[in-house]
Amino acid sequence: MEKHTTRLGGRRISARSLPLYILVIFGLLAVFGLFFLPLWKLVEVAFQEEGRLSLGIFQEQLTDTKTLKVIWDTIYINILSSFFATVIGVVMAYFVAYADIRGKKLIHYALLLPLIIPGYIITLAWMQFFAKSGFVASLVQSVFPDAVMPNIYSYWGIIFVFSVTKYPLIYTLTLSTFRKISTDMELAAAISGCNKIKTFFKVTLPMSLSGVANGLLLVFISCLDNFGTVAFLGIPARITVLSTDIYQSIISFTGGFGEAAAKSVILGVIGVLSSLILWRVAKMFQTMQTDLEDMSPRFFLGRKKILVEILMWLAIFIINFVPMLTLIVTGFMKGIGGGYGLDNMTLDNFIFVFSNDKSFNAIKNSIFLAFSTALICVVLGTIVAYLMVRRPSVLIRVVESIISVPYSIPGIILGLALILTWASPLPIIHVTIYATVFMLLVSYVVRFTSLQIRNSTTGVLQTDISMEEAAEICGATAFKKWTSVIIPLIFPATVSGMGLVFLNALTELTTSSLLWSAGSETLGVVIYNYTSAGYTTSACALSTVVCITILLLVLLYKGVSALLRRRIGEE
Amino acid sequence: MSTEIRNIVMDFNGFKALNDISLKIQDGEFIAILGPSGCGKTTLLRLLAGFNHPTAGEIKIGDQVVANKDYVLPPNERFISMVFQSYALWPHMSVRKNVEFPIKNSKFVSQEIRANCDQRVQELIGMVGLTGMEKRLPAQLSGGQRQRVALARALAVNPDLLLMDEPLSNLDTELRVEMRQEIKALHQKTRVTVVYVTHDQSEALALADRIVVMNHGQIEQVGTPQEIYGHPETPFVAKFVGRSNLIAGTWEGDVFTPAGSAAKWDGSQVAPVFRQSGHYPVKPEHLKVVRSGADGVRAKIYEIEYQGVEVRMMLHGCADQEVLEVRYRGTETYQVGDEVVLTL
Repeated sequence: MEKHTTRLGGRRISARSLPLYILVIFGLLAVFGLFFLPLWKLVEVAFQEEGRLSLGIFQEQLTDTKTLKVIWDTIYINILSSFFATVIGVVMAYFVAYADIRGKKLIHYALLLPLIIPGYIITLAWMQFFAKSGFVASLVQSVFPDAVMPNIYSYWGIIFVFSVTKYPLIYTLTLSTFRKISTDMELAAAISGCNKIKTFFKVTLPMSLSGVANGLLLVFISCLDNFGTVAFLGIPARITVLSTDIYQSIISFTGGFGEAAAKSVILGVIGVLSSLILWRVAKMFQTMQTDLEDMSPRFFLGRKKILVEILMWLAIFIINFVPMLTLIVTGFMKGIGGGYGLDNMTLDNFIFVFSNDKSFNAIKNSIFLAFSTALICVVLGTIVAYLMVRRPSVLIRVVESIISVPYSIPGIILGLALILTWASPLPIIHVTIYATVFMLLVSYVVRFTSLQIRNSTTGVLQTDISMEEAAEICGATAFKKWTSVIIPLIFPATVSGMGLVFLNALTELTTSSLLWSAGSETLGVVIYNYTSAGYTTSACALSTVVCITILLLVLLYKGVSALLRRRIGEE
Repeated sequence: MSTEIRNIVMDFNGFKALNDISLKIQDGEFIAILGPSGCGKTTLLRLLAGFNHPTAGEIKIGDQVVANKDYVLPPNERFISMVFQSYALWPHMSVRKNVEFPIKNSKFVSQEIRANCDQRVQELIGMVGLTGMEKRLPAQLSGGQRQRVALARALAVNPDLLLMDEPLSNLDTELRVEMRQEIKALHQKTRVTVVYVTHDQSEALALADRIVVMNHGQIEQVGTPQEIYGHPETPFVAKFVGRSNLIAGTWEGDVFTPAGSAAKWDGSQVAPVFRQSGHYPVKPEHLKVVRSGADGVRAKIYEIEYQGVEVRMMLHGCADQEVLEVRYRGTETYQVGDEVVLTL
């Protein structure tokens, strides 16, 4: 058989091409400028007084009793919230992992609801639930006329809302840890004479402590990061934590950002310290586990099964559904306090939400921002993830670390850092994007690229390198290799990352609350503004629209990924 | 088209995975590269594929240099194909799409094959016995069937060189023997040049025209299966292929006398390296065991394992405590602790 013998091409190893070098250097500069420079500026501002290096602002802040109370309140609220979130999360995880209850999948998804619905919407919902003359209050008062609803604008209110919104972080981590504990370990304890309770405290719990500690860390950090809940509940009650304190110093701008920057550094240090402590604790408890999750039930409740099921559903119903229902009902009300008859119900709030300039702008902006952030992040994140897995080097590790910082610090710090960097026009081209919707785009990309890298990395790791090598051997060019092998194979993990970025960007509040301006409102900002201005019914209507959109998107994603999995023939 | 490997060195941060390897592979030949894990055999294969580039030396396919220390032709620019240890079938493509991929993408495929792509795919799928399964996805196939798809894909473009990286190691024993036969039949049918990497000597002996035995990044011996098995040229080959005992003693011309005895063994076929070191290589199944009365190597049994057709004995030589292995097929019953005499 005649074979072609003309062979061209080939690649010199020693001399990489000049355009590639320029591209790499340009990319590094862009990463450095976007992700690192703002935080550097923030630290610089915090450690400066009258143009000189100084610890003056810190000295001032750390001796000010007001600031010290803020720091103390932050730690106090976070520790108690983490504790209660842990109790809810571990108990739920234990029953879902081990008991033979029915409808586990449904229970599981219902428990995850607070992960996909933004915290400030859930807070708004609880505000309606506990409202003095609200729907629930009037129900309770029809039975007990003297009953008074507890005041949600208080320390306990904040701790309560944190616990019921943050427990899924503990729940998911503990659930997988519980399932990874080998059944044999528990059987061995039983053979050695332990009953169920003893087995739990002597074997199961000690072996899952590292998972719990990791979850605890996530909750603590997530509470530090939180702005919506503490702003909604704390500001009316004059309870201030670091994130709201920083926010207030920024918006009541009085000649300089030094104070806000210093408080940001303090908040960052608290975050890093607590991470280090809990990370050490988690390491201490690290035990051997099987890698596989054992999904089969491990204890049988017998006659008590129905009781446990009712209790779990009741808890889920109260925690995750009733407040959302009061939110929706409030969205349909003509006015607060006008009763709950059909005569006080209206669609006007929803019509208002779609016809009002501010909220319509917000819907437009948030959708635009969510789409463009997801697209930019998926390209950037997947490139970094691919290089990290396939061409590991010190350089790419540094790049990944720089990109991951803005995601792991509280959003309020990032917001301030971006103000400090972008408020003045860009050098050379003299363009200012500050106070436009593009400022928000930059901030979302900076914040969420790390999230995409994590998901894309999973995708690349799941794809064996031989898949790519086989394509090369079969004659595929680099382009063909990406389009017909790599992209289809990393698609599921990449798209789930994209979905997460999309949802996060769609409902972002913390950095947006600092960076928005007239014309570049976002959904989070408008809901926040309506709420603080007392337009509760409009805020609830817009929140309802947002929640329904999110649920539809999640269902769509679930449906599409199930279809995709079937196509690849996985179980 | 012949392939030539000249003085190849592969250095991974100071670790020499390959050290001065030279080998010429003839057109149509089936070469097995045999060695323990870590000997560099897979590295050599990956250099032939173009996944890595050598630290020094040169590789030529036909009369074209495909790699040297500062130049490498990427895999898609070489007219080669490969069967991976993990098969590397793309899970999102059907059997047909997997086999069709190289025909659609390789720039070296002949006009004739490209023009009759569908027919060619059908022919290949038939050749590996998977007719009717064209639309299945890899996840819906058994291990043996996946192996066949990988073979069909590798043969699709009729390459200059077919590389196989331990292709049978993921199959169970029975299927392995069956696939071995099929690979042999496919080679005889297509006469494609094959470089087959394995650590299993029975695969190498059964399949190859020539075997290259490698150890520690170097070639120990190149030869036909008969030469490698029957006439090892280095102590490593003697031990690795056929588990030979190296019995110590003295040489006088072609005659060998084991230490501590007066026996005279004929050693006209033994390679010079053994004569120099004063050893005689002998396979476990070639040693006879007697209780006494003959002159030979005296040894004491310390382990006996009944294996059905034969009895595997492990012994310590009485002269130097050397570990010896014997495969005994006689009828006499021995016990651990018995002292025996081993003869040729």
